[in-house]
Formats: sequence, C-alpha cells, structure tokens
Amino acid sequence: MTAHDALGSMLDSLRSEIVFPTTPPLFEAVTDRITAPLVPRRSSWRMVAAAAAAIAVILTAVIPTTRSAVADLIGIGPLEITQVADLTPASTVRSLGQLTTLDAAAEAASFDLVGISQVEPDAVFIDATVPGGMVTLAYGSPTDGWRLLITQLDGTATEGLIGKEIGSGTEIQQVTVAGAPGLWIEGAPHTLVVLDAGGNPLRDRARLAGSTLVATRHGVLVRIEADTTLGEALAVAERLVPIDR
Amino acid sequence: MPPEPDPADGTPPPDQVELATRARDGDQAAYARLVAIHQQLAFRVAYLVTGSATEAEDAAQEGFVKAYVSLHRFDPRRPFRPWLLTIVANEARNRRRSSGRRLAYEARSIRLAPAVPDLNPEQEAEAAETRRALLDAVNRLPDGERLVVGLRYFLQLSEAETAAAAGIPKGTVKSRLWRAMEHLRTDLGEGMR
Repeated sequence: MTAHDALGSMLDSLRSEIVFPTTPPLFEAVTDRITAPLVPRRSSWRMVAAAAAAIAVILTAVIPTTRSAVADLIGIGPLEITQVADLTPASTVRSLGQLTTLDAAAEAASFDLVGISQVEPDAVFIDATVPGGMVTLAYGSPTDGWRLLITQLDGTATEGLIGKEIGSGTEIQQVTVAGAPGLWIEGAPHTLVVLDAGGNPLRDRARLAGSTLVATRHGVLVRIEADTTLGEALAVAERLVPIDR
Repeated sequence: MPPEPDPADGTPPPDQVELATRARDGDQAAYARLVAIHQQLAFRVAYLVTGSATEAEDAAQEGFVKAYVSLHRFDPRRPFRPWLLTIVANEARNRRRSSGRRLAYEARSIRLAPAVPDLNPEQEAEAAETRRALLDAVNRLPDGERLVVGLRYFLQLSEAETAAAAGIPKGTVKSRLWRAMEHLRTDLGEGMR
C-alpha cells in the first residue's frame, strides 16, 4: 500500500466522524419559493429592466467627464479613447459569429458566461476566432431585429484593453455598475476597439442603433447594446449573473 | 416531508429519473421530493465551498431555486445530482467571492465527533491524536486541495461530481488530490512515508 493509499484509507475512515452543521430546513424554504409566481422565462428584457431600474438608478453615480478623465478613472482595463475623423472606412461590423447553444458556448468559452437572471436569450453566437471566444447573447429575433445584445469576452483589468474610437456626436459617461466602473456610450455610431486576451486588437462597430454600456461583471468584460436608456441598460447589467452550466 | 438519505455510493435511487422528468414537466411536488432527497448533500457541498453555515444555507436555497427555474435545460437522461450540485456550488462560489472570504475554516469548520471508546484509554488517545493531526493537516491544505479532499472523501462524491462541485475539470480533480496527498504526507511527517 502506498502512502497515498494509506492516507486515502485514513481520510475514508475519518468521514464518519466529521461533524457538519445541522442541515437547515431547506425543503420548506425552497417549496415556498418555487410555489410563488416566477418571472416568466421569456419576459421582455425591458420589463425585467424596468423592475430593477429604480434601484439601479439610485445606486448609479453618473458622472459626466472628459474623455481623458474617463481614461484615467475607468477600472476595467487600460482605456484608450481616440478621436477619429471618419469612422466609416476603418470601422466594420464584425459578425456575431456562429449560431450555437448556450451549453456549447459555455463549454467553448474560456470564461464563465453571464446572462440576465432568469431570462433566456433568444439566440447565442460565438466568435471562436477571438482567443477564449467572444460570446453574444441576443434577445429579440433575427427577422424583427435584435433588441438587446450582450457581448462578452475574456477581458480583465490586467489582461484586456478596451478602447473606443468615437465620432464628434458621441457622448461618454463614467457610470457605476454594481459598484464597479463602467462606460456609457451614447450618440453617433461608434466603434469599440478591444484587445483580446491574446493582445490582438478587435475593431467592432456597434451593431444596434442605440447606445452601449461597457462594464466588467463577474470577471467578464461585457458590452450591452440596445436602443435604450442608461437606467435600463444599468438594470440589465445589474441583473447579469453567472450562467449555471 | 422528512429528508430522505442520500445513497452512500452516490447512485441515484431509481425513481429520481422519473422525479426529475416530472419536475422538468412542471410537477412542483416532484421537485419538492428532489429537494428533500438532496438538501443535506447540497448544504454540505455549499458549506465546504463557503466555510460558513449561514452562507451555505443561502447558497443551497438559492441553488435549489435556480435549478428549478432552469429545469427546462436539464436533460432527464442524465443524473440529476451532479447537475444540481454544479448549480449549488456555483452559487456558493459566487457568495464566497462576493464576501471576499477565503475558503475558510476559521473555527476548524470540519470538526470531529467525539470518539466512541472501543479501545483502551491509551490507544484511544493515540488514535484520536492521529485523527486530529490528519484533520488539522487537511485544514492546512491550500483552498483548492482542501475542497476536493472534502468533497471526495468526506462527502464521498464521485470524481465527476467533485469536478462539477469544484468547478474544475475531472483531470484537475485527480491532480489536486495527488498534490493534496503529497502535502498531507509531508505535513504529517515521516510516519506517512
């Protein structure tokens, strides 16, 4: 018998003597909760957002600031904001990637996906050309138009860099999302410049005619695009939770 | 409804497949039975992850509710227990992260029950000392190693369940267990060589 085997036997024999805290009456609590009305699975994201918006707005400190100040203050990675004369030639809309399932995307991505609590996306895309994968949760429909896109990738304070090329009609605000800094980008069409985990720059034009919220949620760099208000976008961001897979 | 014991070998009772299928189809009573069956194990997994009974209770409760809401994603052809434990453990990890808590056993949260004296006092004292030394060594392991030891040996989870609960690949379970054994062997000294 090896030393490891002997230790394994000792640990096995220890099991019956381990004292765990008394198991609380989870059965009753869970039963009470699951018999209460639940959020509809396919509820409108606007309804979900509205429910949390009041709290989110109170918690959110929206501080208009200059672009350079944003670059100094933002804590979601070194930020580079550059003014460009013309976005159109250099800015292309990246494909959302390949249509996939949430399970497959969770399996393929190098990070834990986040999604809106209790609301399933209508479609999931993954761009496997981005190191670690870039996953987009889409809400709405491809025929009537996506109403909300949540794009996420492996970008941390130390590994990622996100920048922004903006036109003169774009406004940027520093915002607070669940206690962490984020950016609200509103106005003219804009392009995000992201350095992925491999250090490669990705240029990506906003896909929806609306605004963009960029923040880090649960360690994931998240970009929320929608034709919506800051309050609603923040409410969505606040409701992002790791997806259990 | 009183809790039903978990099978010692982790094999799901035959009716759990049916219960899971019924629950997936909206039968709340069937899901309630699954909660009763798994509540103790779910709580203990959450406890090993969080190191706090209060947080473990919250995590297990939230995990059960999230699992219920996510039942449409559950494949009833696959075992329910690892799927549930994955959700509960994720919830527990999130709570541990948000609280900034180390995988903590501040009060030596894995404790030993008083020994039943079936040896003479001197032998019993020596055996108790050995058990205490082993448990102390387990409690000194790095977080990741301590967790897999707790899940694998103290909760008797399978390798796949341990991986699911720890949020790591199965291969990492093996490597962490091996490293844990090495650390324990070193910590406990020459007696284990």
